[in-house]
Amino acid sequence: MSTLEISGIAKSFGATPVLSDLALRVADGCLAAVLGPSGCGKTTLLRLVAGFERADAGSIEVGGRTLAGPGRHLPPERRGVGVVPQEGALFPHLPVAWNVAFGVRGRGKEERAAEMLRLVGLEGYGPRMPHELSGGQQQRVALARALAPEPALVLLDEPFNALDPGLRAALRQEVREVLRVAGVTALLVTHDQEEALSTADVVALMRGGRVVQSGPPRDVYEHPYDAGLAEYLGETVVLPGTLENGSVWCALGRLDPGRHVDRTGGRGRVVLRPERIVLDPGQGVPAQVKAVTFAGHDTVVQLAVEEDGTEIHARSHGYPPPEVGSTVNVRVAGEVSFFPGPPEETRSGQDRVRDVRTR
Amino acid sequence: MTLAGPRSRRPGGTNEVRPGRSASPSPALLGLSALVAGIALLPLVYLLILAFQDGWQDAAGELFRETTLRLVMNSLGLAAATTVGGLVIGVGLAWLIARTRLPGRRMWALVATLPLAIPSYVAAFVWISAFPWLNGFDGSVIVLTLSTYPYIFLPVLAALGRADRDQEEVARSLGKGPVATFFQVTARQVQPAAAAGALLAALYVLSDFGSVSIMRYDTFTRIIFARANLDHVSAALLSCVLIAITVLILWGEARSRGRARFSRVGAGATRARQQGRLGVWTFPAVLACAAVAGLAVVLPLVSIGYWLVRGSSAGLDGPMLLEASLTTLAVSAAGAALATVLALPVGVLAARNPGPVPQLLERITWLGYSLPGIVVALSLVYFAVHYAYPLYQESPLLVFAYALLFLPAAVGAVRSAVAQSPPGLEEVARSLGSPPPRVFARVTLPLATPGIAAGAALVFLTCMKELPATLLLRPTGMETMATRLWTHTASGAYGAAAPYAALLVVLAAVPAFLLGRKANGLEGDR
Repeated sequence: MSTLEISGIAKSFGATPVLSDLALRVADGCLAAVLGPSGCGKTTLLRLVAGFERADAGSIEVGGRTLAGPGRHLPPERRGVGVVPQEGALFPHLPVAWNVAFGVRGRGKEERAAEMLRLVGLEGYGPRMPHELSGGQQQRVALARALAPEPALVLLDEPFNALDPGLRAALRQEVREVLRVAGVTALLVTHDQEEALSTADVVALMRGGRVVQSGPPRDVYEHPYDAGLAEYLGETVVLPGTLENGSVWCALGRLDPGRHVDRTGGRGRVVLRPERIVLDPGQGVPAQVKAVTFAGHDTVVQLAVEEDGTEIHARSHGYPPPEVGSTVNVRVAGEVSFFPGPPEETRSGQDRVRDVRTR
Repeated sequence: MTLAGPRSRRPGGTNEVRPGRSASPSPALLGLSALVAGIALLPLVYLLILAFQDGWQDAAGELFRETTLRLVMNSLGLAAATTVGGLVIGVGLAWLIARTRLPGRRMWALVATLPLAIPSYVAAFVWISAFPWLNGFDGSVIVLTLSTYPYIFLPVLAALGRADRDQEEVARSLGKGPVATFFQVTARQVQPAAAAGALLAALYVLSDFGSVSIMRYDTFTRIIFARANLDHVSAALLSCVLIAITVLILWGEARSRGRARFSRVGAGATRARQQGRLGVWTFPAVLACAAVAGLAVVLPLVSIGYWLVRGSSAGLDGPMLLEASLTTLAVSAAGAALATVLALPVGVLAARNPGPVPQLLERITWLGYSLPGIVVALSLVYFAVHYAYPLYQESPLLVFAYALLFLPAAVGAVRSAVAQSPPGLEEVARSLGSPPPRVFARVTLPLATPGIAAGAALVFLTCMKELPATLLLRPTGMETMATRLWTHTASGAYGAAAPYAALLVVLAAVPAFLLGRKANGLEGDR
């Protein structure tokens, strides 16, 4: 059993608080992704778990063993926590096999190194030097090195950052598979939403120095705790609406808020994903096509609902795309999010994304 | 419209800004560094104790004498004349090479750095053997100017390479001629570089012992050496005055800096520009370059060659040469090794733990660089006589002096070598179960070894050329290449001195070549 249990962690650098009252639990054998924008403190969290930094308050336990707590700070070398840094950080003066065997104690170092290299698909690469490997291979060696001493927990610090996008997706799945085979609990730090959502068993969203929501990827994507998180995880369409008798009413008709909603009722904002707005000839509310933008894998369709002129946009995979000026029927597939409060924010999510980027 | 889905929101991703490292230095490292700093302080502290052991009044009586005043005038006069000469030659050459269509600019740039490969006392030997009537102030100025102008030439050349040519063009467009532009714009841009170089040159002159002694010109170093074995207190007091002058010059330079700002306003790459035409001035310009090269490079080489031929016809003393070479190699290697060992804790500390205390400890080890070699040697002689007599006139003391004198070079090498190996590697090593000492042995040290070794090699070469400390501290009868050259030159046996001069030039050429390659502004200073 090596469940990671972080509670009440606080850390400041000088007068700047970076983490405050942070709590996170990662079940044994799970891969958790800590997702947050740059500067939210996720790397500091990782450094605290690894023991490179000392927490001001709170405790960190792995498998019931306290790594850090009041009056206790195990040095990194006694934690049994493996680290895969951003760009691999292989020891440049050691061959690959020696890199992997670096943390292995006692006899059988070579066998263990060979075994780990086999696990990451680099059998026979032992005698090479790190600079002779590609970026992806270096990352796999770094993973093998971290796993070789059989740590209770592995930390991955944006490990796919330096790789080109094509390689990134493939390596992600490979790393996930290796971690599963090794059966190790892992914490992955990333600012890439797709990476977190597609790789992890659990996604922990960080904002302002604390974990604001955690859960399975689909859960956090479908049911974010607030509009800000919804927006951070992906494009949104935000509409004014009201909640009545367990249903949400807005320009797109009656929608299902699912089970996660605060059922007090009243006015608020409806937040939904543009790819959930389906152009359906049969059912839904009629809307006029204002603009169509080709985006490669899908098409962005700007729409105005005929009844009240509400502007929304949809991501459509249909072929052929609708013609500008034509009228289509739109409906929403699945559940939506509803956040009670004054519905002042009613613009389309795309504009809001742009705001976030330029802010 | 921005099409920014979650997939493309952060292409490539930006690295999170890392918080500052909060690790504090280990007590062992700090303790060792403090010990080394204490050792580095020893010569200065002991010198002060010695100088003022008879009280302030005796010290004042000893100091306020005509001799002292004469020495101050002599030393400052020599430093001033040399620096002015060096500025004229150094800035002039740099401007011709960087800003005009001087024929053979690359060749001249290389040749102009060559004097760095000729130790100044070797140059003094060359001049006194060629022109025996040229001694005293004139001879010293000529020799030291030709030896030290590269300290000004190199930074100015680099600064001219970096300077903003737009400002010069604007000055021309505002009606300034080329000469007015040079003095009102260009000269201002290179002023910090020239000042830094001039400072180095002046400090070099003040601490130089070999060439002024060969030229028989009374400066502080020469008189300190002469009194070293006769009048301890007087020698120590004069050393203190010399140190005070050095400190004053350093302080004045630091104060004069830091007010004006010399920089490019705004970004933008400097474009390659057309070089100025020299026109009818081409021939005089080439002539000037050739004159400097002839006096600073060709004359010494030809002269050494001449004396080599004459000397060997008179019979070269092979065994003696071999013995001096082996002795030099041995003590220099030991000095370099000791300097490197002493430099390790301070260098590692400075590279890994920024903070006031590590910085202070590092600064203290730099003392050896600002103290003239003769002063350090003098202090060690007296210290050994009083407290460690078995070491007096034994080679370990000489090795120790070398280590102290060249500690800064070794510390710098350790520091930059360690700073180059990323701290992330050490963290990974610790997460893999290695405690700090093992991490140092398995990761930090192996990675830093090439840089540290290069630093040790540089210290080794510098030790081989060392003269004043060697003269004072060597065991009776021990001869290095530098002392052989010195004794032979003093007795007028130029033919016998020539092989040592040749060897020393070859040795000095290695670091000079490295420095020249690093600082050559024409190769693009980026």
